Amino acid sequence: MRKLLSLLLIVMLTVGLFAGCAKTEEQTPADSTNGTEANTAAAAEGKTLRIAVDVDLPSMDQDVATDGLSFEAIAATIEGLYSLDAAGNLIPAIATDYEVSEDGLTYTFHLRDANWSNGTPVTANDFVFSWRRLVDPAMASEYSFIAEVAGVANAAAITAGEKPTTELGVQATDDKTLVVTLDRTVPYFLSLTAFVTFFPLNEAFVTEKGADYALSPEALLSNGPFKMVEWNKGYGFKLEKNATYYDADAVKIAGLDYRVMKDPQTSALQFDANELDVVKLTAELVDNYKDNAAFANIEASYVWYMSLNNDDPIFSNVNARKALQHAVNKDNIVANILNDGSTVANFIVPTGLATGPDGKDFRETSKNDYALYDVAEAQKYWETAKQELGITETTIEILFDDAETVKKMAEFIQAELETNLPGLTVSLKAQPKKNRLELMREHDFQVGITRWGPDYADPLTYLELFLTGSSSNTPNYANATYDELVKSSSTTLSADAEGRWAAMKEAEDLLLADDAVIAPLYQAGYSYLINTKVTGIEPHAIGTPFIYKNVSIAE
Amino acid sequence: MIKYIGRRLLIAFVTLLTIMTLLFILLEFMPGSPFNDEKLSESQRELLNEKYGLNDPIPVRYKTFMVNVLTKGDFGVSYAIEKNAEVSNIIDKRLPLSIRFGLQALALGSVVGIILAAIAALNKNTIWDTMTTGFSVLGISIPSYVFALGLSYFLGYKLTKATGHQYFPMTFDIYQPWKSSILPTIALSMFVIATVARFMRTELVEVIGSDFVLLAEAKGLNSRKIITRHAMRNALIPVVTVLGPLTVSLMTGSLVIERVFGIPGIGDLLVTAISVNDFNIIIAVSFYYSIFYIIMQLFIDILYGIIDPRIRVAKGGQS
Repeated sequence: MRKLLSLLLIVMLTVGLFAGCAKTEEQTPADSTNGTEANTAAAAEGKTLRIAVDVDLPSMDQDVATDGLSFEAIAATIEGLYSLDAAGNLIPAIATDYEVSEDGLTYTFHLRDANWSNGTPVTANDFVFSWRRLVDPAMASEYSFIAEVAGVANAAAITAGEKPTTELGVQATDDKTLVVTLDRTVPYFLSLTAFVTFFPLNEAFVTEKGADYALSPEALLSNGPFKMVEWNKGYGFKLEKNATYYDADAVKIAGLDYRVMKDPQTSALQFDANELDVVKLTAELVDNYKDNAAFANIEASYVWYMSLNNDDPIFSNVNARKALQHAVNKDNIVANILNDGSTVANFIVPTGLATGPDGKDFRETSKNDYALYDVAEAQKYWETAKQELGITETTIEILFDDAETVKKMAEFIQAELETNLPGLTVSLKAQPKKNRLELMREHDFQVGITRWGPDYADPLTYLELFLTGSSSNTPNYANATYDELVKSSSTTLSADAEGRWAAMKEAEDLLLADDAVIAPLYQAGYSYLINTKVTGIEPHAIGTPFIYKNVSIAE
Repeated sequence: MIKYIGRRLLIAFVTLLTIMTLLFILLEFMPGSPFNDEKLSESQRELLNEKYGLNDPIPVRYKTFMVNVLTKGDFGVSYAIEKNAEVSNIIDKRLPLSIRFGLQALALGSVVGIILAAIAALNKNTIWDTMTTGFSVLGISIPSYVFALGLSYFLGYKLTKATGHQYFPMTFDIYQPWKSSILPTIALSMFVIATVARFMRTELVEVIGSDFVLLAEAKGLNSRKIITRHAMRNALIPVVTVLGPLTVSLMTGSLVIERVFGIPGIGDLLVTAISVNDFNIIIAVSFYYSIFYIIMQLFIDILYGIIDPRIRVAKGGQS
């Protein structure tokens, strides 16, 4: 009897399980046919590039966005005056050409005939409206500082609320002519016109949508290669080829399909199953895929460094700072902890950021041996520092983000410092990133592991960080000579390409060699899996991380 | 009974208000601010705080917050995850998914769990018992990340590769919501199965060994009736007690399952919100957690009465 009963129960269990499945099965035929049909339809007009991302898309509003993914999605749908080609050179986009006045302060852009996806033409006023919106204090755009960086006349005063937005140095003389007035010559001004915050916005549309602007595909306009057709918050979003784009013939794929996958292991597996074309790898997955034909390393311009609080009793001593610069084996960090294409940084201005008047990369013609790993050197400085400070042993604290990789790096640095610098004990303090930033901003730390990403293609984007009193000057460095060198390269020397280049090199030397303000660690790189059938993805170190306009997917 | 429920509802409401006040105060003391990017200057942060009303005095903000939540269900806007989007909108989209997966897992988990327990209890100290017990030990001890990834790998990836037909999508897919929910549901229900089976077996063994079951057997009742009518009903009480909190945690989303299967639920939302100081989302999700918990407690109390009339009488007498 009992046996019979248990048998019955097992049957019930199995039936129960399959009953559950059967119910779902009823739904699936319809679902899957729809899916295949949609796929075949898409295949007829070209393929869709399927991209995995590890965060939700934060914003499609160019004056609200602050992150790479948002910039990338906005840049796929809207084009500005200029764009970048695969090599990072400026190419005309909405602007066909420009003239610049003798004094370098007035730029006149001529615009091509292009339309927004609702049929209205793209006009010079769209730029005027957008740029004013960027600096409008009521908008409180987190990127409004970039208008000041670009030198657009009155930008700072307007953001501070001292002048009306109409005073901004940008004017539409007619529908197709845009005149920009700068308050100083800015050598990298043109490159900034390819940055999303300077893209045009259709005034009538944005005003009509009000607070809803850019919160859904219906509240968005496009004048670029793609337009947003679906946005399932938290799940993913779809961009489809924009038929009204002026250069639509050049777009060979049907669109981009972004899927939010927070677990890197799953997205790698989906790549193997050919469900995704572009997947970012984390360090622990790199070894599995290193030899895969789809494996690619992409260099980024983020530079990670240890900020040494110059106000701290220990690190006010320059020899103590120098000891730290030389005591950490950075090769070990990039090879074993990061393992993702990152490279050792013995500098602060990264490789591939800016090209000088000689046509060469800033790094190519500068010193690359700041803060080299050298235990003997480090110990020499450390002994001097201990003597000068009158101590034999001490304890310091390293502050860092509570992210997995950063934590491993901090633990490694702790071990290196304790082994290589006798008498030094290191404690670790992990904090959520926002709190870590707050502490560093208030100079409430000793050693902080931090990073900086560039805003524009010029060494100044890094060197300005350490100006006396700058809010990003976490080490609280104050050196009048350094300030003079950096400031002159954007003021008195701004028209003298060679002179400012030399001044910036000198500034970097002062910062890293003489004053040892910070200890650079590495320049970030990323490892990706990219379907071998896909060509034409253009990665960029600044601004828009990826441009997908020229992608093609082979059969 | 109605008086009892009414009183419980009132207590629930006061609890909720207290929770919200506590949340508000706790977030006030959280270090850092949502606007703390390394790129922002002091004046920029000031502008942003002004724009989102974070500069107002605490009592003013507390009042605005409570009034907005209680009258309009308005938790404000997201500061970081989906910038400027209404928090209530974000939750509205994600909550139903989490609830759906939770309920599916609960249904599957408790049915399978009870059946397994019955098999084990009826075949005490046989190979069946050992097998089901072994199964529940595994269910509790395998980390859910490993189990979820294993399901995705073997049933989603390997099986598709081997057969050329996709029976189970590897990840959640909004275009085939039912088919692609099978694997996450199984992964999520594993813990439920194990927990229910373990509790239920212990209880069943005890009940089956008790005098009244012996009497029923002696009276000549068939064993199916004994099990369903007498033994099960008595053994369900402790199971319901465990299931309550378990249901809440199921419906509020599992971080691990959501990440592995790419489900936009609220479990992952809360964790992300905490790491980026998206205050309004933290408050809103916690608010829903609390509501669930309170409702579930109420529901369980009522359920006790249905399963075991003795409890109803006792409670009714008290109130």
